[in-house]
Amino acid sequence: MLRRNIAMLLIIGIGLIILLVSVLFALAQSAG
Amino acid sequence: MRKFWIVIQGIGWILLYLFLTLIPLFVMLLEPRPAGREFWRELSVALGFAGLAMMTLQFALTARFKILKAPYGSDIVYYFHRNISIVAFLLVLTHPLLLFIFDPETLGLLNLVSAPWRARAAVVSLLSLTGMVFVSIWRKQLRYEYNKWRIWHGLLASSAVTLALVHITLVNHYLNSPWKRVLWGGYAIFFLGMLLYTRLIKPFMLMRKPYLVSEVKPELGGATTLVLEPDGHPGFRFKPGQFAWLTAWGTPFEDKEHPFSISSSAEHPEKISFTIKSLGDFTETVAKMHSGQKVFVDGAYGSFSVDQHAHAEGFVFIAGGVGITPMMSTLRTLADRGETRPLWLIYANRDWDSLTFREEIASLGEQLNLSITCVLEKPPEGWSGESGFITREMLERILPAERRKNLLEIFICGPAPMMDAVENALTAMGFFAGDIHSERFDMV
Repeated sequence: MLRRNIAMLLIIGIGLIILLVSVLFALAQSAG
Repeated sequence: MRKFWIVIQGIGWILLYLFLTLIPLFVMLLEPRPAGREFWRELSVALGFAGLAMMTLQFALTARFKILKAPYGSDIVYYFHRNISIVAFLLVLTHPLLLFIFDPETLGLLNLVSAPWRARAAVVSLLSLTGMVFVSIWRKQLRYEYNKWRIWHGLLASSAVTLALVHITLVNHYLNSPWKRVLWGGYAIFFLGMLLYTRLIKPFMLMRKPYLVSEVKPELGGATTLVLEPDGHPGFRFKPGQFAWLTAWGTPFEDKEHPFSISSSAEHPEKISFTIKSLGDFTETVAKMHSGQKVFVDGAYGSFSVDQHAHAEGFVFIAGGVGITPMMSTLRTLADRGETRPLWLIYANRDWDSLTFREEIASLGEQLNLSITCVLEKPPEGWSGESGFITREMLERILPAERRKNLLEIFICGPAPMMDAVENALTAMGFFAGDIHSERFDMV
């Protein structure tokens, strides 16, 4: 149960990191 | 020390996953860099590339690499595969949606008759991905047969990735330098390598190590035990509570395998058994199998094992119905090892005649320091034991009052509603969530 909860948090975390890096990429690319 | 390295390995895989997902975005920023465009268009592209990298990595998650599963357990790797695919799907879906919202003219690319090939590849790729995700999430509600779903799942996934790779190649905006092409060539080779491994190499290896059915035994509760012996090879070692993939009525190339818990003792790997309850489709055919029949076994997998928790001062096993099979493997193994630690078995079933392994469990109770509680939903007349469903009050009565981290390791296997209820009850009783281990049948 604990492992599943940790895995779900990890999945959400990975999703948010990818989103954040994508936004940073778009900012960098659109600025230059 | 071993645990430390497993934790490091677990963190390492996660970092590698993030690296492989995000590296295309960093490489795309290397010179020569295409001229910048509007923010939303670049964001759309970034999400598409990250989503595609995740889609290719999905193939590695289900390729059953033991080194990848070791830190987490198979169930968690499949859970991750299933749920991260939703994240990848949303990223990939957002890619065209952003284009449609901020540049409505791009809606014309949906017309497959007039659209260029780069758009056709993208549309069919997204349709494949959408179909695959929806059918996977609602397979059971759609009553879609497991084997058919597996074949379609593989075909749609391969189509989605191949066409998405064709799409980025034809668009050619960010593949404007050799290094960027090498990177995506690497992803394409990785994807093809995974397909080659799972569809050809792995089945070929399994074909070389067949098993013969040595016994087909009917059990109480509509279950059948298959006893298998390796044919011309030593078989594999396994931990009690682990599972393996069984292919009968076909070859490993046909992708007709099913996961089942091993029910025999891990101290006797030369003879392994599976106890399978007839629940429709493949499981119905198990009773029709015969001695001498050739089958193929891919194992062993899973972390639902007492061997993972050598420090425990005792073990609790809570089984519902055919969820008794990994517990039987564990109890038989512990009996063979002369285990002396206290053990508790709480075994819920419909009625007295559904209690698979009833007699053997009673006999194990005499060999081991094992307290056995049978819980019957429909008890016979005069039944003095527990009845109904497993409740918190019942668990409070049966289990010791002391609660301490790492004191008891608790294993639960059975129907999902039972497992949810028992997990919640145990947590509310003060058991440490990290000491509660569940084996879910619905991992695939």
